[in-house]
Amino acid sequence: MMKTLLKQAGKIFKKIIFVVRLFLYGSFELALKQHIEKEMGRRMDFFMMICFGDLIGLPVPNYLTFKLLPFFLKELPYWQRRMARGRETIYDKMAEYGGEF
Amino acid sequence: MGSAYLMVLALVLFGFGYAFYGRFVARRLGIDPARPTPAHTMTDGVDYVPAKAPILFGHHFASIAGAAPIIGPITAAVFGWIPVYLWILLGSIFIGGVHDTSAIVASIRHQGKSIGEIIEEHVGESGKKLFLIFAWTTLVLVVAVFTIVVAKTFVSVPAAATASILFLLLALLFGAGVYRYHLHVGIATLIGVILLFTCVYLGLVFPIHLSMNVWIYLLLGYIFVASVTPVWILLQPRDYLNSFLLYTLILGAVLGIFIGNPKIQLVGYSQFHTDLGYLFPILFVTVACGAISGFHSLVGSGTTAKQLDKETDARIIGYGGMLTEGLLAVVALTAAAVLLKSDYASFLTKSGGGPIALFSTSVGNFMGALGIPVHVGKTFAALAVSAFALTSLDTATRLSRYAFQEFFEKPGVVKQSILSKNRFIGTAVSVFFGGALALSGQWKAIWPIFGSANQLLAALALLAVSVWLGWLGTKNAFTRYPMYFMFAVTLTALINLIVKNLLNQNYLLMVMAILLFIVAVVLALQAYTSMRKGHKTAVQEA
Repeated sequence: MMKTLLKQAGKIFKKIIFVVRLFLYGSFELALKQHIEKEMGRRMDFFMMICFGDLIGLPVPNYLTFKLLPFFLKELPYWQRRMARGRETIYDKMAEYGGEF
Repeated sequence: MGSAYLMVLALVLFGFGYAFYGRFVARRLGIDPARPTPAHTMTDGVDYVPAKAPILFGHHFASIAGAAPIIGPITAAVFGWIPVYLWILLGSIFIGGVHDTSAIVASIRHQGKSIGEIIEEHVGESGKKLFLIFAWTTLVLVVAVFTIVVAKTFVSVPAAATASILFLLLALLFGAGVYRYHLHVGIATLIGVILLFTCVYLGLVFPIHLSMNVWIYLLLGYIFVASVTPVWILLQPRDYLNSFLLYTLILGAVLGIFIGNPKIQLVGYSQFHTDLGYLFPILFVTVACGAISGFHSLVGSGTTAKQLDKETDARIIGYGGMLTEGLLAVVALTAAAVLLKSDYASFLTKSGGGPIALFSTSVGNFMGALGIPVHVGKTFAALAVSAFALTSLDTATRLSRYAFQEFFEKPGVVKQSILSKNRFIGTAVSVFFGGALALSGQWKAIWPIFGSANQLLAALALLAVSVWLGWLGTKNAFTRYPMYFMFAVTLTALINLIVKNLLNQNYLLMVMAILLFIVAVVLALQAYTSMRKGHKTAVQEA
């Protein structure tokens, strides 16, 4: 009885620690990580546009980049979505920076 | 009465609010854990990425909490602490929480689009222009009011001035270390936090004494530079360090209140008419983000909605986030409520230290109950709130520059005008107007107009949500009545403030209030009629 109770308490404690760790990660590191990922994503988008521009209707000579295609198969639909959404507007900027008042 | 009771009552009521009204709102919004969110259906690896609820809660709260929910309740306490306390509790539960949650849910049902985009889709290009004018005017008010408040704090707590300058340098070093020299974030954080407390110590040893106007000019110069530099240099690393300040401050203050249980000395209710104006509607707009804030809907619908893992998380993040901000507002109100009426009034006079100095003095005393020397606690709290205010200042300048540039942008044209291309012009114009207001006005005159604009934005978001729910045939009284109330409060407040500034010959402020009033009314009417028309067509087609 005591053992099961202790086991249960241990489980709950572990769960609490897990949630707190996630909360702290979200409060501190997520923004830093997202910023770097966005920056990387933007550079990647340019690269993809040069390589596979014809997939979104840009007249780019693609015969040299076919060899790269298998490496970017996973990224392709994501990239097409990002391109289809268009540029950042004031709403995106306000969402990113503007909640503190 | 001990102030710990205020905290306990707020915690209990917020708990009940979350459990019962939060659940009711979630049910009305038709939240379904099985329905996939845009983070799953539209994953793109950058913006649309699912994140677990606690992570997103931490991120959302760090984005919405700042100096405004601290300054607002302290300023409004001139009416007495009871009406402010009631408005924070009822406003957060029945209006603010509903607004934040419904904005997130509306956004996830519109492919993660921002609430602004949803309104714009219905109103068209003129709606966008109106929104940009509205946003720019509000942001210039933010620049003006926070410049004055920070300058006041630096004059009255000179240690905080040194600490804040050192803190900015620390953020620069931290950013360069992490982004440029690839220092491990954990090691950089450890060094950063140690240096953060060294800043407080150095501030106490070497305080900087300058006059109010000199600080205003220095701050204007700072925001100009800070808002044109890339975000990784200052904004990102400082936001990261700010989170440490925020949580340490909340933890220190709350523990201090519980352990010390300082006595409430301020009058419960003073009078209906004070130097701020009439209790209705000025109190409601003065509390600002402590009860409801329009900017939350922009964050919720713009960033959070794109990363929501499950629909049920909207309640935890939207409603829970707003209630936590409500708690921060209660802490701020407590800081004012423990003072004697004469002490409270002396902080808020023209030559007084201002709301941040008041807050840091009280929090320093609260932390004294934990064994922390009062002057150290006071400098720490002043540094923390000044850091939030400085963040608000330069993000507002940056955003006003974006709004300015986007206003003059011609869609689909390659050759754009210099007003849209040049970032320095947009920044200079915003800093000029913000600076002119800061140098000529008093923060107590500007703050309620900023609060009205902020809450008008919330009313617009509630309007969009109500019309959307109406389209779906859902009972929308829970968003419609708060919307009516917020429009009534903010529009009457603006009329009040227009008349007041006319009588006080503050013509620049008066013009800004008139502009906000007209733009908001036109935008609301256009959005409403076009959305209704869209609904009729949809019904006829069906």
